[in-house]
Amino acid sequence: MAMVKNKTVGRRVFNVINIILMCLFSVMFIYPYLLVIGSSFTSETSLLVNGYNLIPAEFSVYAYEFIFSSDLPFLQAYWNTIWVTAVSVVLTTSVCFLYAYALRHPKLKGKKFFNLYLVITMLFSGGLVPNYLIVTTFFRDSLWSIIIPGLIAAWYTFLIRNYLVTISNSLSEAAEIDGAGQFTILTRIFVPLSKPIIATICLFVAVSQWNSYTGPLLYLESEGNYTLQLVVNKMSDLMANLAANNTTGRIIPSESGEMAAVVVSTLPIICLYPFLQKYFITGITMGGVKE
Amino acid sequence: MKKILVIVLAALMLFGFCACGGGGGSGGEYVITVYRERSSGQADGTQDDVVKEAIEEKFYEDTGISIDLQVTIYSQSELEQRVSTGMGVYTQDLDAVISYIGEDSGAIVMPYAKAERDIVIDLTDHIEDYPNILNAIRMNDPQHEVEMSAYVPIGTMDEADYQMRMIPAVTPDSGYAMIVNADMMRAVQDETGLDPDDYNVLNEGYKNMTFTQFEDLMYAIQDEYTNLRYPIAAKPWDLNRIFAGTLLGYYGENVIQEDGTVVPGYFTEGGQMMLDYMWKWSKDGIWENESLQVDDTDRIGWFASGLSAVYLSYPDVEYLISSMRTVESIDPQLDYIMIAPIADDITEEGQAYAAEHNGEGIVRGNLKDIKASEALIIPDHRDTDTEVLLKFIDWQYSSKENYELCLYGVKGVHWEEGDAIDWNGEQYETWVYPLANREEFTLNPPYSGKYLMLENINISNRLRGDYTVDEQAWYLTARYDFPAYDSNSTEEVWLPDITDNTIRNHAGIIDQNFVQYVRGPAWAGQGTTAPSQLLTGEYIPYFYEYCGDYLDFLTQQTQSSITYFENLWNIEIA
Repeated sequence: MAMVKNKTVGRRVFNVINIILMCLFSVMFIYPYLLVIGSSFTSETSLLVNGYNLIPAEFSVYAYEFIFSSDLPFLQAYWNTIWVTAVSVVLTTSVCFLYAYALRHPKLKGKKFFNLYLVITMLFSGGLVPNYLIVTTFFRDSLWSIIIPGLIAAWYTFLIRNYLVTISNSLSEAAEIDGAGQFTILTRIFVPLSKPIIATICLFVAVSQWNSYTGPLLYLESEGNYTLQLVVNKMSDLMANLAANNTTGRIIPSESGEMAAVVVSTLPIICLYPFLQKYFITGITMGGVKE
Repeated sequence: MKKILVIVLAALMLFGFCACGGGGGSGGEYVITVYRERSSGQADGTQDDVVKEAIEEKFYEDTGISIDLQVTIYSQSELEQRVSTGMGVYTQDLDAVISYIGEDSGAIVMPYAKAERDIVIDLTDHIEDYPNILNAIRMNDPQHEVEMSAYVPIGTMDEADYQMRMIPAVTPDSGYAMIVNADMMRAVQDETGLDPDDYNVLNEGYKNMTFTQFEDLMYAIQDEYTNLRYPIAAKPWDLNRIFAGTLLGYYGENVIQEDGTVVPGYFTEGGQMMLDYMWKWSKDGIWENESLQVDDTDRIGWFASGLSAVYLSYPDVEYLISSMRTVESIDPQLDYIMIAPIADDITEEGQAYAAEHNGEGIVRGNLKDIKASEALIIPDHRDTDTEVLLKFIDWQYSSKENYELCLYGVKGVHWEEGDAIDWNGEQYETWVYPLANREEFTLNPPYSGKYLMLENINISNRLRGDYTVDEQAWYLTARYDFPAYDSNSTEEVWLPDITDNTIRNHAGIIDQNFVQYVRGPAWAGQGTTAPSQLLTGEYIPYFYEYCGDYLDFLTQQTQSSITYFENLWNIEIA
């Protein structure tokens, strides 16, 4: 009884310390973003004079006006990024799932070969120039240049495969006995049971594509095809340049404008995350056998 | 279900094809593709397309060649990536890359120009066929300083052949200045004896402040204004730009000494003195010891809100004018002045001079800048229109009309000639936006200037007509009245890459150690030993003992480079 009591006290102390630490960490992570939001709604002159504050010293939406009215195609880039993200999520998840579904099958012919084929891509790469040559040969200055190369992502495929092997084979065997084909087994049994991993992969792909910068930088040329991160970078560079040698007679919101661009470009992902959070948390703990 | 899924996927794919396709061109026979780095203050013009059409039309009228100019401006980081892939792909349509040139890693064209393999085209023989380019580069330059910058050594340390692998711009080499808060100067006038009106360059007969006076002023302001961040807001290299002439020191580059040997700048008394004052000022809180973390916009904010007394962040007069416009929009009541180059009364020579001249120091001027600040390289690719590109640049330089079309836009539509300015017996031309669209164009410039391949002040050098009278005076004073100090650095004379591993390793160690143990602490105001003592006491003797081969390399290569150019052009390089 005494031991149980001590354990409870000890547990309580641990919980208190844990909670305090987690709160501190939370503040550490959230505070910078709140500062970004606050700065995006602060006038440029106030930022220059007073620095960054959570609560704007002088409230202003000029930064947002500036970025949406600049010559850079911000709204077009927004749409391009939404489109690329949506298509990538659907296609990448579908393709990886299909590959993983095949790999999970115990009697797949050439299983070792297909596994190795995938593993090699995780270990080696052709390099920047060969990648560039191949992608631009088929998808020069096209949004498909960002989608297609990443369709079969080895890591996602392995994640899905590891999840699928935890689903009992007896389910698929029973369905086969009842006359179900492979497609029916896939769509009626495995897909519904795989919602957590599908949601996880969707989130990974969405975040990855939303934040993608190097691919668009290399493969996209016309402004009409630019994605959001590319435009944000260009905008940031443009504002810094204009502010350094400003002959326009108006204040260039180089600081608040950057913050506004960050807020605008991250808001959709932040809004999406709460809906997929439970699956994400479940997904990162998967891998154990559930027989 | 299967059918529906297939149809949905197919529809997605089809819908996606509408994202395909690149931008449209004007359909010229030769597509000239140029990647260039964004210059400070350069915005994309609202009517760039109009100017493009006008240029292509005029070029066709004059030469019969139909071109389609595809010039894209990138930030430095973007350009680096684009050029890296563009250079790596032999079939890529990339006709030219334009960026600034220098010794540092941000000069994107330099590694390609200096590469031993023929990544870029050797223009040495080509350039003679384009006399306008050569004339424009050589004009007003008897020492061939600009042209020298275009040559890079190809080969090893022992056998280097110089090739012209770049076409250089020609930009002004003088124009640095310093801005001081006049209110703060007045507040401590009783203590320092310095009346801002005596040093204001806008007043006739303005005086040059001596170094001692300047330092006393900074300390007095620091004592008077306890809420100051720092009296001096500047990056380290900007400090050096202003004080190199005063202290006879430029720590940042290799310099040629009187006996012809080449040493790092911090070997010289002047370079060490510069570091000593940086250390002292940083330690005493006179100069910001967080200079590498602070942004220029922060410095503008500090100056505008009275948190610093001196502003010289990138102290070129054009940038100072635009910075002060920003400062005025923050605090229109702030009183500030531009002061003339600081006079030397602190070096041995300066002290002797001051003793004989009633305390006045030697005025050598602020640092002279590299004249060829930007250059163009032409990749040696399968799909390049080299001859057409060179003809185009030659055409740009062939007349002032062509040059100004490419620099300012269509005359009468995007710009017009402003009133000429008389200054000290010389006339200076100006340009302004047309009155009908002046307000609109001032807020949103119609043309970025991107179709002018390379600036060349020998062809046209117009002042902005929208400068106020004071701004015009600042500009002309800083550019044409202030003397400019030549630090005798070896910048503009590119040396071969070091192939000897021992020497290369030594050079790497030296540089690393200098930055870590001497320069870093100097800038941060750390430690108890002055940088000059560290350098003369242990660092430099160590250098000579263990890394003398690197010094020999510097001297030998620089001397042979200079000899090469002296023979090439039959001149004597000072």
